[in-house]
Amino acid sequence: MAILAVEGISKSFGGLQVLQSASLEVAEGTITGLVGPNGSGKTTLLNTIYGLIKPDEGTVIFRGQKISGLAPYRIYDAGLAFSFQLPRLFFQLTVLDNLLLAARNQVGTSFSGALFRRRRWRRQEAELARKALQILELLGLVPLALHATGELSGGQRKLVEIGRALMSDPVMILLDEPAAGVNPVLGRKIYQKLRALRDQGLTFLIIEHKLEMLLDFADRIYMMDAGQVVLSGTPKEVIENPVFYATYVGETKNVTFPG
Amino acid sequence: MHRKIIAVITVLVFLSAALVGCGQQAAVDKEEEVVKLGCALSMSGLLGPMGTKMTDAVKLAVEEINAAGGINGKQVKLYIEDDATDPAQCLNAVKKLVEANGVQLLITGMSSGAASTIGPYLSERGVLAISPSATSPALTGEPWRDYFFRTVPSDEYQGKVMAQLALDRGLERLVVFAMDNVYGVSLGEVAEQALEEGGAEVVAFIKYDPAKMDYRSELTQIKSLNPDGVIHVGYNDDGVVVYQQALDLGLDTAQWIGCDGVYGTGLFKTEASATFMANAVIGTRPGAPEGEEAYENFVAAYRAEYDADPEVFCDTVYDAVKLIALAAEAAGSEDPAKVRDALLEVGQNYQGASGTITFDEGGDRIGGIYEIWDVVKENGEFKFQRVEKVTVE
Amino acid sequence: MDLTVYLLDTLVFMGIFALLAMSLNVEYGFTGLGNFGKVAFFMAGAYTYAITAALGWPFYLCLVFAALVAGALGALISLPALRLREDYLAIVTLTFGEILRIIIKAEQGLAGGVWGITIPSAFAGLDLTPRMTAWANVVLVWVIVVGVFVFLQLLINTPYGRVLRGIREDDVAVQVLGKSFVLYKAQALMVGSAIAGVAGGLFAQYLRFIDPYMFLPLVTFLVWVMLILGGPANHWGALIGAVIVEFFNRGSRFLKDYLVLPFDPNNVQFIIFGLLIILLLLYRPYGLFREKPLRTGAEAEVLKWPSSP
Repeated sequence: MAILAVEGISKSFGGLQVLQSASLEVAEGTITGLVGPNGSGKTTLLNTIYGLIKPDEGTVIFRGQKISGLAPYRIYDAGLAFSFQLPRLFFQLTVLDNLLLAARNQVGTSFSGALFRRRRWRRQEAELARKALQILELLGLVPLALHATGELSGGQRKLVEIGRALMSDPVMILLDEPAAGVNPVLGRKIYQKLRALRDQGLTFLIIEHKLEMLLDFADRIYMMDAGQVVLSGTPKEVIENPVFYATYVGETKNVTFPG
Repeated sequence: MHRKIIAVITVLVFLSAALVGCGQQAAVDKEEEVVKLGCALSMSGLLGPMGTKMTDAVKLAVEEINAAGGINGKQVKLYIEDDATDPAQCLNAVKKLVEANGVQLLITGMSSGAASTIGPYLSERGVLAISPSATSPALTGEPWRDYFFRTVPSDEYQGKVMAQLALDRGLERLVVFAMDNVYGVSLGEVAEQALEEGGAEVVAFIKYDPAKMDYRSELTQIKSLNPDGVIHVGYNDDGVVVYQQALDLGLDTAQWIGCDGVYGTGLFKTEASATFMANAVIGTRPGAPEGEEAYENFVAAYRAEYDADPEVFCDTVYDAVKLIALAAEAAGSEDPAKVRDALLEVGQNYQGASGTITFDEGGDRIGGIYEIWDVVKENGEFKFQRVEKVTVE
Repeated sequence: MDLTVYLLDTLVFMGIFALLAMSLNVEYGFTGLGNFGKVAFFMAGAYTYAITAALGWPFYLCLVFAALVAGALGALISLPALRLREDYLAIVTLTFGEILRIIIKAEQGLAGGVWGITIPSAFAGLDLTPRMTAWANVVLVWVIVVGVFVFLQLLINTPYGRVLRGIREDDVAVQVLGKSFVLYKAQALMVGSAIAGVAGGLFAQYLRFIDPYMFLPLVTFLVWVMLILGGPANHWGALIGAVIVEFFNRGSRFLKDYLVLPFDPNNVQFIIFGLLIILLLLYRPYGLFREKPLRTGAEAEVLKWPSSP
């Protein structure tokens, strides 16, 4: 059962062909990794799936519904959450506010709701706050709940990003390098939490350069090169494929090879 | 919370300081027994340069009055304010003068908009004002005119002079080309109406933005209409550009009729503009009664004091101050109602720097002397010369 | 000579500017919209009031209509302007203001053109002395100021206000959280414009005469100084900022009478202003009043949470 099906996405920016008929499928309840050298189009593909970039060709189908061409906030409503590579949090707002902003179906976020249904949204605020605190508990961030996110370290910000993605009760989350810029121990902790969430039924599509993480935690890996998907399979299958190493020739800086 | 309190307290302290200061000033004034005169003209903004010179003329008049013994035996104390060419600021300035400084006699209302804004207030408070430069015919007959006079004749007159000039020269198809401000539109409309009453045809009324500095599209439009005359209401800066471009387009085949706004050596800034004027422009302007004693004395005194020539409306504002002084003397009081009544009496055939002033019942100056001018090239130099003098009743 | 009347006059203007500052606060302070066309909506409200009053409508209807028309103009300008980056939004709004002024100046049939238009006072029917009229206006204006103040407190201290603050920081990020930022920005602009429209109506009936020369871009900049001085994103900041700036505006008229200066005393006002802005930017770039954190009740839950410190 493919919860997300990406078919034949092509995109060029001013003569540069960034994506070339890229296709992949993500099965429900899996952690699926997306790897490839720099410039292979991974982030662009993720952005296209989420409607931040319009593809020249191709379709994206999520839970049987065509989402290509929809505005991001609609895709959000459909149950797909997105997290930026560099945390795009609201740095002047508190951690709690950041999470609360992510919740869906809030009575108080509309003009009339805020003014006329005060009791409803105050009650909902309390409920959502409790939910946010549960997520923060999971991520170990409760003491920072009322701190401005601008005060947090890079690793903590990444966790808040993930926490935000969780607030909307999504069915699937797109993550762009969740363990980037954090020490390996924290990185593993993050992935452990992701796995715990997967076990609860959440699906993930993750761009990652730290291949050893994917080896331990991913169910399936897709590899991209020069705008196309060139390889796919279980982690074990992928690293035993000679194409894998050939693609990474010359690219040893960001990549950590297993073993 | 603390900051809020501090801010509020600071504001209150300032406010009370200002009030105390005013109170003291009022006490001081009472002791000194002065006659207070307010002057609220435009010292900054679009009309700033004009208003500053006019205020200088006011200061000159006050000095002369004080040197001669003041009004009713008391010295005149002059309060000067700036309205920044904003009618709302003019009202603010006037209110400050009246309510905080206790002034009841004012020289103010530089523009017609300013006059309309302060008019009702003046009437309600019963304080007297004379405007030296608000020329709009729309001000005539307004309900608040009981306390508002003007020493400058309404555009009603100059517009008719311009129209008459056109009719006398046998012009039959005309375009009115005017700036899009009150002066331009007002004068243009009066001229248009007078022309039509005189049997000429006004084929178009074209307004332009004096700040634009490029009028080719409007001038091309005029050319396509092929009029035999153009009534032009402009100022110096835009006038230069208009005439320059009109020369390029060959519009000197039509007779152009200008007004006081395009009179001045500023128009000779470019050879093209001066040439066009010599070829095609004659104009009107309120006549300076040269050779008449009051005018000569005023110019001499102004030059002596400020080492410069007086400019437009300096003469009317000088007369305004002198007239108020005269009226107060005649009434034997500075009470605005009495001064107002006296003003109507002394303002009959008064020989002022700006000519003979006679007020009508509504506080407007009746008629005026207008001069017809044109431009000639003499010994390689351009200059203005008077063609004739016209008296309008 | 009646100092009380002058004081009351000052209070009326402070109130009108407080409304303008609060309206800009909604747009810039909370939503981050650089609206440089504030005077346009002020003017639209003033002229709408003038036209409806000329039709004989009672003053409260004129004010409501002024708000509606100004708000509608705000909606109109959202269409092209809101997807633009800040600097372009500033240019577009500034231009819009000037265009409106030029249209009114040129179209004499619409509202008097360059001649301006007279307006009856809201209290014209009653036979009041100047002092009583002044009092009546102070009450009218400040009742509305308080009303708007309360309304904004109710609107901004909510999840809705949280979204606005998010948009202020990063409007794209808000998109990926399921909110259409264009809609929110448009609403902020409409609310701000409507409030500016009411201010315009009050101004028109108080002055009893308006013309296009009263609505130069300078007014917009004055409102900006008020907001920045008082402190953006704080309602008290907007209010106090307006009071202080208008106070300086008027106070400098008095100050020059008592100072012996080497330059033209009428320039005192500009010099004071310049000094004020410089001092502000040097020592207190956030303004007098800081933004207060959101209080929606969610924070209380944090304190109740068992594992929080």
